[in-house]
Amino acid sequence: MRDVELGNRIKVFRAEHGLTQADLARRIGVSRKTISTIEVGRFVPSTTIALLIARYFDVPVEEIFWLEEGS
Amino acid sequence: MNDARTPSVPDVADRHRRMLAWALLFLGARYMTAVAIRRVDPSTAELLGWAEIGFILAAVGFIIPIFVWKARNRSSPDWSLYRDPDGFVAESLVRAQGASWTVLFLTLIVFEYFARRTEWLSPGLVLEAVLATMLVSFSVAFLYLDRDPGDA
Repeated sequence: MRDVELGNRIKVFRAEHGLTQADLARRIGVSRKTISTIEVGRFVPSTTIALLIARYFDVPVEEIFWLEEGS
Repeated sequence: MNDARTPSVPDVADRHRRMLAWALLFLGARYMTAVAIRRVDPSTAELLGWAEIGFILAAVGFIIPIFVWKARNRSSPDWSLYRDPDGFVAESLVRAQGASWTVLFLTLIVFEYFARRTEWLSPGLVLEAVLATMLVSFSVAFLYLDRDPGDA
């Protein structure tokens, strides 16, 4: 049975770029709630949103998202 | 729409989805009241009749601003963002529809059982009860899924 969760480093990248959740949301064309729920692991983003975030920060998607073993 | 102080189009879309859920909750309350009216004395029914009108007005109050915004912004270059189903709130809406379908299915099974055994279960009553169940279960499920996790 699949027992993995999606970890992310969006908050770190946001802080490095001096962006609020609303700023990042506006720049990639999603709502602030979508960003906040991705950050806390409550919402698993689509491939499109994951790639849009990675493209915005100009890094490979694996630097922002990774799989981690579930508890 | 690009002013940082004005809500972005995806944020407006999320807000409209919440407003739709509240409108459907009030419509569900209206149908629940209609069911109750069939079973209470005339004086109580008159009071509930006023409550029914209040629920309908509340639902319309949530729906009209959505239509007005859509009419004004349909030709906006950001219109595709408004209709984009990719996001937390849009997904919550779909999950709430699934939960509502399950509740509705179980409710219909219960009604089907009692319809064979009771005299007072009229088609009108069943329709109102089913509509109330569908609308309330959908809106409550959505508002629960969309609750603020306090993570902002």
